[in-house]
Amino acid sequence: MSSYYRKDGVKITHDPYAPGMKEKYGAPGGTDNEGFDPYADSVGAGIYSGTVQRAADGSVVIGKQYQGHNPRPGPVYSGGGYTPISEAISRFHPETNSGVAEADTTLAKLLHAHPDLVNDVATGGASPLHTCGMSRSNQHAAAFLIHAGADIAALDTYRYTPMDRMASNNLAIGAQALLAFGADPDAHGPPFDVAMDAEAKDVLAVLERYETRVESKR
Amino acid sequence: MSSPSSNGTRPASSRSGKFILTLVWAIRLTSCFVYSVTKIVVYAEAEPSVSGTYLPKPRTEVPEGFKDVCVENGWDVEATWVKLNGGGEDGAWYKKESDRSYIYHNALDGSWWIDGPDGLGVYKGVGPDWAPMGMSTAWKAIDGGSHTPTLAIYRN
Repeated sequence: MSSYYRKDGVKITHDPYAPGMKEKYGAPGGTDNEGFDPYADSVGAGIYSGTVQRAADGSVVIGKQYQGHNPRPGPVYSGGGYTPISEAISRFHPETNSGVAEADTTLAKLLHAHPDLVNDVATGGASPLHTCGMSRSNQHAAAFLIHAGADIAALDTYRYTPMDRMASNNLAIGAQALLAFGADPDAHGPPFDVAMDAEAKDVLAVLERYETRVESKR
Repeated sequence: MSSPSSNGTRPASSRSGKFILTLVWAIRLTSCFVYSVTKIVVYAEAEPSVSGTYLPKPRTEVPEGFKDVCVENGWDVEATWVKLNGGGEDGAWYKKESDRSYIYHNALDGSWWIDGPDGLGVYKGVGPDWAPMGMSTAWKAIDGGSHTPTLAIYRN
């Protein structure tokens, strides 16, 4: 298989032009915005960080995931776009960059009103910390969320931890935040494998530092 | 946003070249390698008896509710606790501030349990032994219902 890379330099670990890809996800430029774009290696709210169906008692409805992108059963997309906390995470870094104090960000206000959202469940089984691992901007909210009680060892339906997600997208700042609060560098993947596959050099450097540090304490 | 990428295999040789440089970082960072769960908040609308703030307790202290269940069943309290309490950081478990509800990791079934003030299980879920899980999808209701809690896990 030829090697393909995203615009941010991360290696695409699937073949976007494999047989059946066009039939399943659409031709380049014609993919579902809420689904998987194999050519850009990006996903929409239907697959990750989106709103989920809930039963009358508030529990998450588990079933077939959007587009069957992940064949495992998982939270069912409700069609509402990204969850409110996913949206707030995406605003966090732009807001703080423009001078807004962390306590006054959309994310802080949302968590103040609904503190349980810190470990909310979104499509793909993503927690807010997983969502931090989905873009270079989002990763800046990781430390804030951990301070608010986010679970550093949560698993999404791909069996990825937030650390694995940071590794898959080469997000070193988010990875450092997780490791600083005790995330396991070898948990599920391990992240090192994920980072190697994606040629995520920044995260590889972070993991090497921490793994060596942990080994030196044993 | 970016897609989940596939997992794979890591060539062992790729890590060795940077060892010396990373060792310097490792020595610098080791001195601040301290973290632990300082507080857990349980949000459980369907089971308000277990909702609230929990604080860590040492393995040497046995939950009152756990004692009651042992006594009722004729089990040796200390021996049963030593046998079952398999988790938390240094065997820590978590007691609710306002009553006798508690959270502990059961070494026999590999699950975290949230037990009510009467010592009986309300929720359980499989997770790492060093901290309970935050997301509701990681938990199951002991009564067979679909309701599940969300936990916020605070660390220093």
